[in-house]
Parts: sequence; C-alpha cells; structure tokens
Amino acid sequence: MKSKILNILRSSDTYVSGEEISKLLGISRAAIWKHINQLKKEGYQIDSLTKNGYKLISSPDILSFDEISPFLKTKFIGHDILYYESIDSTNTFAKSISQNCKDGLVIIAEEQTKGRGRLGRTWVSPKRKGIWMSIILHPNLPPSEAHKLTIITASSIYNTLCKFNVDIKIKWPNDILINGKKICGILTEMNAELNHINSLVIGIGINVNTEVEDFNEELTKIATSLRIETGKFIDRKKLTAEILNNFEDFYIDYLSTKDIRPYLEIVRKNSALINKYVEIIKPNEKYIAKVVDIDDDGQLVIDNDGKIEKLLSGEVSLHNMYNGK
Amino acid sequence: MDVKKLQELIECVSNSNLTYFEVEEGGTKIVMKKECEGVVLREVPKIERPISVDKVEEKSYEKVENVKIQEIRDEIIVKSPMVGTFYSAPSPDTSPFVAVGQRVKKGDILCIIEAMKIMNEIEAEVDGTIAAVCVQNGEMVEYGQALFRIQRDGE
Repeated sequence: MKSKILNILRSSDTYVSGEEISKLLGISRAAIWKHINQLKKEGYQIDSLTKNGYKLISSPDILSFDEISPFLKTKFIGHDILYYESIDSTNTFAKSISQNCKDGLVIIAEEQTKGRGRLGRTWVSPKRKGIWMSIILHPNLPPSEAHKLTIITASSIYNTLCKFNVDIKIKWPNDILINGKKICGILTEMNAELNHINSLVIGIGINVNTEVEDFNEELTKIATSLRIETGKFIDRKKLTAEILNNFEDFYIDYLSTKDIRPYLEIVRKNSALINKYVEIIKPNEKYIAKVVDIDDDGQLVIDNDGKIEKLLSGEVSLHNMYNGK
Repeated sequence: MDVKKLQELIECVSNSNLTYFEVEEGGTKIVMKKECEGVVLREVPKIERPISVDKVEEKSYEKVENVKIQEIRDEIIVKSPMVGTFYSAPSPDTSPFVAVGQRVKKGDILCIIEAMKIMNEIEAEVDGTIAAVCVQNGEMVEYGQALFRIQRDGE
C-alpha cells in the first residue's frame, strides 16, 4: 500500500489530495496519513497542505524496490528485492535462502557488517556509499559452466560503468578496476550437485560514493570509488537498475545461445592483465608469469618462463616491479 | 556339476603340473589357480562344498580394491562437480570444515571447490562419519574426482 501511495505521488507534479488517494486505493484518509508518516520516516520529503493534500518533494538515496523499480527493464531479475538497512553479508543471507526462493531474487543492503570477499576476506561496505547486492539464480546449467557467469557478470558491469568515461579495466576473472584500483568485486557462490546447479548467488560490491576517508590507509592504495574517480556524486538507484538490466540482457542471451565469446571479447579487450606480468598465488606455490591471453573457455593463458600454461583457478596480482611501476 | 565330479576335477588338477585351469559347463564356470603347490595340495580334502568354490571364483574376477569398497556398502563417495581448486577450510587461517572421524549431518559443508572465483560449497548428502579425505588443501581436482568418503549412519 505504501508503494502504491508513493507511485501516485510520483506520477503527479502537483499536490494530490487525501480524498483522491483515498478513492484510488479504497483506504481511509487516516490510513493514508499513517503511510505518509512511514514514508517520511524512511527519508521521503513529502509536503502536506491541509487544503491541497500531499506532494513528493524528494526521495531518499536508498536502494529499496520502490526506488529502483522505476528504472528496471528486466524480465525477471530484481522483480523481487529484499532490502535491508543493514545486514551481515548479502551473499551469506542469499545463500541461506537460495534453494527456496524465486529465480532472480535480489538482496540489497545499505550496509554490510561482515561484507565478504573471497576466502573469508572482508569487504568494506559503509552505509549508503555503495551497491552491495546479491542476485540469486537457478540456471539450468551444469556446474562446469558456472564460471562463465563470472564473465557475464564482469562484462555486463564493465558495459554499465563505461558511461562514466573513466579508465575501466577488468582484472581476470572477477574484479573491475578504475585507474588500476579496485572499484568492484564479484563473489559468486554456488550450490551444486554433480550434474546440476541447485542455485547460484552472484555477489556484487561496487564502491560508488565511497570517499577517501571511508577506506583505511591500506585500502586507499588498492581501492577507489566512482565518486573519487569522477569527482561526482553518483545516483546509486539508477546505477543499480542499469547493472541489473545489462546483466539480465547478457545472462538471458548466454543461456539461449550458450556462446560466451561476445562477453569474453569484452573481458579480453579491456583486460587489466593481458601483456602484464603477474604474481600467481596458489595455495601451495607462488610464481611470476606473463599473461598472454584469455582462452575461449575463460581461462587465463600465461607464459611461465617460456612454457604456456592455462589457469582456471588461483590468485593473480599485478606485479608492479616487473610492469615498470 | 555335481560334488563328486568337482572333487575328481580338483584332485585331477591338483595332481597335475597345471597352475591354472578353467572350465565352463552349463552356465557354471570354474577356475582353479595354484599359488603355491604345497598349500593347494594340503587344501584339497577340505574343498568339499562346491557352492563355496563358486563364490570364491566370482570374487577372484574383481580387483581387490573394488571388492573392499563394495563390501563397505554404507560408505558413500563425495565427488567433485567441477574442475577446480580444493579448499578444505573457509579461509587460509581457519581450521578445515571437516576431518577424518568427524560426524557430519546432511547439508554440512565439507569443502569448497573454486574455479575462476566461483566458490562451490560441497555439502554432505547423508548423515555419517568422515571415513577419508581424499584430497589435500590447494590441490587441483578433476570433474568426478573423489573428495571424501563418508560412512553412512546405520539404519
């Protein structure tokens, strides 16, 4: 009901009388008044004049369904959004419900108290500064194809961020960098049986309006935000919707064609790693190699002292000393 | 083949210089092998029940290892659904999800398989006890490779 009232206020440039809303929705004027107060609490600025009724002055900078849906063009992703002021981690929560929820459900939080990166690393996610969300999918794919969805995610986010006219690169396979610093991380977690994916949770963390002081000293060296890089305050709602729109486009297309090449091409063309020296860290070994290519399966092709190898797994970090920095 | 005929056959083979003998008759196949002549000779009078002879022969066709796994009927093997790196713990500085001898419940996380930063948590499919961890932390695993053996709880 709250959403319906909000939609009525949104669609009007002038004051809407309580009587009119009451007629449209079939609820009492007292009930409307209660909902309006609730909206005000959430940060909506609503002007109310006894004679004229209500007028929406401004909406808060929040990523609730009501705020994102006007920009959504998706067929199913984000049609249901679970929105939280604060959560431990959107991925942790998404995983806990992923088996028994709708395909395309999105979890969004304004703040993560235990934002996670890979292998238990923390991800700084301060309140209302970024986009911290998880998409739950039930793709009809074998688990061996799941890694291609990381390419879909990275390439769709790349395409979305292109409009900011900054130097964006994709660091194989799941990070997005601006001017060499991390702006976005993707953490995909899967629940699968031998031949079937039960559910897939794609966690996306984007530093949008994060400011320098939000990062600690260590992080300022390796992380940045759209605001820091563009000097502008970014509309998070629109950006969230655009990412979901682009992602779904790529995702639906890939599921029907099973052809990953167009997306691989984006990742290759804008790779932060190709022709660079990287340090490869595996759980049991560490070495330096030059990245030559990304193959058609999405694997990183490296030249390890004259020996060409393919990498499906393992940590890769740019090696400044060898790259002349 | 009746008992008398079988006994005759065994005696005949035992007394010969043959170390291997195979015969098929009416759907029954009999294989005799002499590992060490002395032992076989001494055993001759004991082999009186043809049924038990048949049983031994059937098993002799399987590899010892397979027999062992089949005999432990309540053990299930957890296989990897994809190629990737095997992680025994949620992060490098925490203890492994499970260890040999540990009780697990259906749905408990056993390990993570990672490929291109897709983290796949492998869950126990049954209630039971970890009988073996077949892979080392950080090792690459193939599709279908055995990761764990779980001794399923008795009915």
